[in-house]
Amino acid sequence: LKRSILEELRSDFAFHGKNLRNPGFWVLAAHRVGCWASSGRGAFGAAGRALDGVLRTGTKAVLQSSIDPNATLGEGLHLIHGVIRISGGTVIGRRVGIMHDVTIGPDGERPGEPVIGDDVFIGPGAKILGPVTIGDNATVAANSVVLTDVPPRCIAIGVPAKVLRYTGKMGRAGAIEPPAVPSPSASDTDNTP
Amino acid sequence: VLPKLPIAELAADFERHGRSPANLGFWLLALYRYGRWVRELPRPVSRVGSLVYGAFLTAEEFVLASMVDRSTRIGKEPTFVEGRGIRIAPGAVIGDRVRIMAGVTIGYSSRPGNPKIGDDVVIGERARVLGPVKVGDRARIEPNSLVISDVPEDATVAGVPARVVRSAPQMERSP
Repeated sequence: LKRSILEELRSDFAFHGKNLRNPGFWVLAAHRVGCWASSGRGAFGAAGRALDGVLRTGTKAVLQSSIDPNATLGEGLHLIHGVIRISGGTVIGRRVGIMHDVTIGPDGERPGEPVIGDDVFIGPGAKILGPVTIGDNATVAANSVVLTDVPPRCIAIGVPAKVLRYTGKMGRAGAIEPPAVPSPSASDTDNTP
Repeated sequence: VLPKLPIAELAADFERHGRSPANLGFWLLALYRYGRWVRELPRPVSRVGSLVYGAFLTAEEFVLASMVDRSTRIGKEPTFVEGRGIRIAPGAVIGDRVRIMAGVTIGYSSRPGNPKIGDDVVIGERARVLGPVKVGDRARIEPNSLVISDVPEDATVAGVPARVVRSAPQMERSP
């Protein structure tokens, strides 16, 4: 079921706080318009592909972001400040929040690309690399490098990331609480696979 | 009484940022000083001046990927070593003579509250200081760290999440 381009843009705009000064919205809008324009046929298709190239180059050069046209993005994706790299083959679920400086893509060794579930939050500077699966409602902490699977409702933190269970209770409206910083003595929360 | 133009501060900032207009960190700080100055002016002038400030702030976010809001409390003589990718949340409080490198985020986590950074702190490239944490005076935060708990005075912290790797300043340890 394909939604029309305008409907997509309207929903992206709403998810980005109806604020045109949010670079995250423009990164996503350029990707949507580029994909739509380059899917045309004949002369329209050629013009559309040229427009697609201009939009992608502009996004890369100015906003320092790129979303591959072959990436699968779910509904309600929220790029909180832009500045992200998402490779082709990546699958992203619904209502995912991604902060700035995030890279999602292959790790250059193992074949395959990340699959990210629904309601995942990815903190600033996180890298998710290789054929890994991030479960629903999981959180990736800032500056973490995720190279293994993360089960649902868990937190991945560290370089390389370790998986922690929630130690606190869930906040209001499903808000995600950060883990208590694991001290060397409190290794019982440590659930490294 | 009109607020004084922050010319002396700007001259000192320019000096501290290597006397080079190519240093983007200086421009970040100049916009911050302009924004604070213009908001103290009488009403109609400050409205127009704030529009100009807002336009430049948006340009800063789109082009440099930086965001240093004028309502952030920053102490005396801050240094932004290279101004790219510096994001500081409006509620954060930053002490005197702090050095902030490129790509640093000082912001929110899902815990309510804002970071408080002490005096003479050095924050390395792409470090993230998130949530209601206190960073003590003279602390050093190594590059790419994630600070989500308090940092004691004089400590050096590193890692994701950050831990203390050295508790005394380096100078005293190596005679």
